[in-house]
Amino acid sequence: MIDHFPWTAIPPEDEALRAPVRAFLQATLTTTPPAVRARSWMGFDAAFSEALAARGWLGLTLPVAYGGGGRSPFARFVLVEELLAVGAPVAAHWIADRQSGPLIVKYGTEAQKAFYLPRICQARAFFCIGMSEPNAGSDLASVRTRAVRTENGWRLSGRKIWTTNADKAHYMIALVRTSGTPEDRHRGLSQMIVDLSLPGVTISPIEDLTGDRHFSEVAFDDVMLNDDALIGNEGAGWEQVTAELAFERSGPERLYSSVVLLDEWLRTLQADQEEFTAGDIGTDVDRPGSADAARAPCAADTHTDRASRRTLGALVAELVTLRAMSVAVTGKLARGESPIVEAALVKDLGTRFEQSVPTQVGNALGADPLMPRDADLDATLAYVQNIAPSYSLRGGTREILRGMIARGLGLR
Amino acid sequence: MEDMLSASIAPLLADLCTPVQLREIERDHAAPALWQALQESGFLDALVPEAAGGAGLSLDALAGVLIAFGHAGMPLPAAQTMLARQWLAAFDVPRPAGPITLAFASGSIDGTRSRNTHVPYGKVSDAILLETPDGVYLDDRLVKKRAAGSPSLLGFAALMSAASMAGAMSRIFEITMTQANERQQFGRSIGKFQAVQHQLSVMAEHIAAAHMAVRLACATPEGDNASLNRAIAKSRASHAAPLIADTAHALMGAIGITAEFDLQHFTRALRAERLHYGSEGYWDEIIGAHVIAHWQSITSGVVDTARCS
Repeated sequence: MIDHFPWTAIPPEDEALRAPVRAFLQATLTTTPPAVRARSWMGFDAAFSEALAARGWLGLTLPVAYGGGGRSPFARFVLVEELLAVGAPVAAHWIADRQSGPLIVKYGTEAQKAFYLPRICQARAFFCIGMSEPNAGSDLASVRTRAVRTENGWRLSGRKIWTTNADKAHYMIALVRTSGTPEDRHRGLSQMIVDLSLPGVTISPIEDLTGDRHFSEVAFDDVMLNDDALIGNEGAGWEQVTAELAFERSGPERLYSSVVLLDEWLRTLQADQEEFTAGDIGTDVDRPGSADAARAPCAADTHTDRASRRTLGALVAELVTLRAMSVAVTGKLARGESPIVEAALVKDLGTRFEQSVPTQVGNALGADPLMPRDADLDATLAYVQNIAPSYSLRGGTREILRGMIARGLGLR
Repeated sequence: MEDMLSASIAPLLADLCTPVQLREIERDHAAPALWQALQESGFLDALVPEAAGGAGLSLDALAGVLIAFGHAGMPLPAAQTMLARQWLAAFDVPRPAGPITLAFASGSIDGTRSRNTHVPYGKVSDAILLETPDGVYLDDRLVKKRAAGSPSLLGFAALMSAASMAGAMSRIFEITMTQANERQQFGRSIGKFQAVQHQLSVMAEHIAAAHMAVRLACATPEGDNASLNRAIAKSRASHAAPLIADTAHALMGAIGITAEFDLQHFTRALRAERLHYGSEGYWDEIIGAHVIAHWQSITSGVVDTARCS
């Protein structure tokens, strides 16, 4: 396990995608305040998604035959990294692009692929994930939403909750029981593509502690589905969901959820630094031809400055390392492997890092109560520190992930 | 042991760094058999250019070996000697045959030694390569003058320690996992308990991160990012060290703090190396200052650390 993260470089042809994406974002997101961009991939903007689609940046890893880019996971990694770096509003297409599309490629019929994939690539079909229920969170196998066979398809009843973007999505891919009872657990589960505009679907957005309504409860009351709502095989829902979660957990978004806050803090530290620039104060790392690594403290340095540098340095050291691990996981995906345990390891370590950012930045800002505060930084911190618990709840809680890692270590 | 170089040194380490031998070496401050074997293996000159009689290998190629040293509990300054010999070769200075360790001091030396300079592996070394702001000394002899702006060995020395720490962490993890799978209490192995599993999972995460940071630093072509990545490697390894050592002892129980049991050799080494050539506090400050001075944004800077060209 420990040796499972080989040093991996992003291939040049995929790295080449970075510059045009960065240029587009720099031109496009000029007026969005940092506190809004701190919503990260939960910011919804259908027009923005359409603009990405027009550039061929949606469905990068989906097959060309269906309108996708046919690119490798590395290409998507580069694109996603640049989008997250600035907190671009990608929510509309995010889930379809990240997991629903790949799921349909892997398990869909020809008709399903031909219908959904082009629409996903054109930002015309937005998806959400129907997994958790009021009584089934970490214990996903205990879901009770039920699809009963009818002459032409299925009748769906039950409820899903914590469904991000359900109120704005066209479709949900829902994990439901199609045979047996909840006591059968993993057996008898299937996945259905549910058109959320059908009669019997009721979506109720839920306000979160920051005032946003990013997730919803969705009730199904005898929703009539056609035969082709079933994706994959009946009864194979559990394996399909496991594969889908591997897609969900393996991207760089488990590192960058709080990066907009970190950037805002860096901006203020750099502004402060300009006031003290006075020749070489020996703050550069040891490098050929530069100052000695063993620097003497500068008279202009305050205790707060040095503490801030140390805090920032520790966070950056963690992030650089995590990012290298995430690229290594991407390399495994690109080789056709299924790095489920490695992805869980990076997610647990990554979300803990993401959560430590508002804690550390908060402490740095509070270290001098007399210091004037930057309004943008304050607003960004206020949002991030309160939503941060969600980073380690969504996509699998840390207790579940640590259990998966333990299994991977051979402890079970 | 995934690469050929690590595989080739593995038998030497297995034969000459047994727990019994490690105890003897620590008691006697001498390891002639081990040193001779290292000398004959050619690894001590691995970084020395071929033109000067070495193997001319890169840190990238040698990363696995440097980690293996730590895994074996290497009691001699093998990695430090490798660095010292590379440096001496660069200035055409004859290379001593015995163990050389690296030390750093802030005061000037005018033929007298700095007081109370911390010298890792001092007791088992024949020579000290000492870097101060005004020069590099091989024992008492000035080898090379330095001035503000001269390149320093400190970052490289720190990387050697980070690699050794990563290897020690792996060894500690193996010992702890064996305990988890074999020690029985309440009618089952203790590794069946969720609290134990979660602690081991967290250990594994940090050890994987330490290894990654070392590999990244060794693989980065020489330049600004290489310096930064060396700082990151030592920071990351040093941050993780107390958690790894503490968790291992928590899970091993009382036997883990006995002298007889092997765990202590590696946890003591890990804690000591955390402070060799700068702890996390030192390197974090350097990293932070560099980021503030040079990075346009967090992500663009992070991406650059992994650029190969």
